[in-house]
Amino acid sequence: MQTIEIEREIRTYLVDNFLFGRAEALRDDASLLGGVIDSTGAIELVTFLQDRFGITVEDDEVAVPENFASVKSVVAFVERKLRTKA
Amino acid sequence: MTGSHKSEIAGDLPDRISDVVASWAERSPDQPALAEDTGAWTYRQLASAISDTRTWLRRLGVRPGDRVMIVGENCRAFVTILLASAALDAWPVLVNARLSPREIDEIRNHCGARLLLYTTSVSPHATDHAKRHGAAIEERDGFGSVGIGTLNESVEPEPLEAKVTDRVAALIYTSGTTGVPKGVMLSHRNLLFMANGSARVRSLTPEDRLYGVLPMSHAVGLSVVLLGSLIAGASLYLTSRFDPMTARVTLEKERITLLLGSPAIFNQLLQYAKLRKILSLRFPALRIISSSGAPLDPVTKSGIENLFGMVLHNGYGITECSPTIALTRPEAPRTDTSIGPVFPGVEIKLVGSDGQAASAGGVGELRVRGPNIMKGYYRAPEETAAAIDSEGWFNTRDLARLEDGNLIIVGRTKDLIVHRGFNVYPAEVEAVLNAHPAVARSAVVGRSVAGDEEVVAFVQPLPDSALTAAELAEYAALHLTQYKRPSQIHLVSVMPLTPTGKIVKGELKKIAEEAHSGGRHFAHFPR
Repeated sequence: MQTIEIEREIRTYLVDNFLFGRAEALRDDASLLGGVIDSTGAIELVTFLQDRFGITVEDDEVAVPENFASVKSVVAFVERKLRTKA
Repeated sequence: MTGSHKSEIAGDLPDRISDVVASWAERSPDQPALAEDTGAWTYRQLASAISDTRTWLRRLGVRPGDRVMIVGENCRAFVTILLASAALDAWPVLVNARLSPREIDEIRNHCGARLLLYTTSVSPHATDHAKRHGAAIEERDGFGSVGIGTLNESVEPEPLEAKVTDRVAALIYTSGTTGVPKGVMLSHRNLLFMANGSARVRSLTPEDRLYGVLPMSHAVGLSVVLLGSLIAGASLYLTSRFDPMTARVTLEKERITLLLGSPAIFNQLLQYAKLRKILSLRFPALRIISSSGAPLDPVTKSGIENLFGMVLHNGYGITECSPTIALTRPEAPRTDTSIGPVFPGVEIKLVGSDGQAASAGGVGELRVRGPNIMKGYYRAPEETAAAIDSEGWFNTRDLARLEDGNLIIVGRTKDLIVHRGFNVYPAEVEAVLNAHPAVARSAVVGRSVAGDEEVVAFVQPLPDSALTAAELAEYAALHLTQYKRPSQIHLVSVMPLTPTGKIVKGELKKIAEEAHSGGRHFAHFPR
């Protein structure tokens, strides 16, 4: 899966589920956990990533702030997981 | 009725909240004091940071009696600026960065802040406010970036009280589930009395490690968690946000011994366990888990107790009481959702609607007196006089009863619904609705109709449930006598919440009233 596709899917999910469809509110550098996403949302996002991309996200990986800091870091994280899986 | 050990708890306390750090820095300088994911400080390092920050604040133009507004979330910078301001006899105004621009600006204008500081290194919300206010963002040794607002030259410092312990140590604006927020002035004595009593009730020692997730801009996070930890020489792990996955990892790795959370936090842990299909979470170092900040429902309590294999304690308080009024004791765990005995050193009385003492076991309005009662509301003498009577009793406006020395809150005075001449306590109806397996939470409000009030329920079902309002009405009919049953049930996907997770009933009441005038659709049930 291409980076651009992964990013599009993640963006669409975040905009639809956390920003009431306001795509313009999701900046590239916007802080995700503690910013766009509240604490309940963290579990929902992880569940989405696992279901959609067929990856397993461990609690320790969510606890590393860099992995979920922004849209770009989540995309990079998913790519790494997909590479490991392949 | 009086809690015990008043003199013991209020007795040998330091003068200022900042002094608790100085004494441990002398006794155990290398003991860990504060940690967060970017680093940790010992008591010596924390004392040194407070001293440097006090000098820095003076250089910035802060004077004793000035209000220093800290827009932030939990981190070492927040703690240091707060304690350094208090050491300088300035008033720290503690503001949760998650508040809206309108709320932040209202508080800034009301308190007449001399200077605004923003904990930008941990909080994107604080960064947004700093940018909006045109603050300069600078790096400070030890605690990362901090936003520094422009000095307000036109404000005057407040005169200092002669007695140091009576000076304002924190100004906290109440979250205001109704009406305009009020600035609660808490003195050094208020906060240290609470910190010391909380630490004693939980037998805190320097061996303890607390999880600091409750916001320190609010009273529980400030007095019970932060100052309670520091006064006992314990270690506090600070975090600016809660997510159950990070929390699980931190509880394990940091060998946390005390987790003080809110019902919202414990509910998220339950949801996490459900999604991860985890039946049991065990943390060998953990010795106390406790909930406060909002009413604890029986489903959350029993769910968490099954998951953690330990008792979930409960406490109750309000900002004006620094905040704790009652809490369950580790040595006397409760199986119900009682809030336990009165806090040591605090007096209570229950007053009936006729102004007389409530009968034994009867419901009355809860009044509180003791060293935990605020100095008053800032710049609001009339509101202060309405809240605290001439004998020093503070009116919580909550309805409560006593059962074997344990307090049970039955609702807010103003939330009481009088339907067909009968008293309906929303908390009782909510407890029934919350016990339905498909309900995440509920809120019950009254709605005025000609000469009467109707019971209206707002219910948030669990995400995957197919619950209908009709099904819930049938369920309510099985468990509630007729006059207590909601005449309307409104299923909602989200509830309006304050930053501490309390449901804003004022907004729900407005929605209910609008619906009455034909604005919205409700499921309506004839009785």
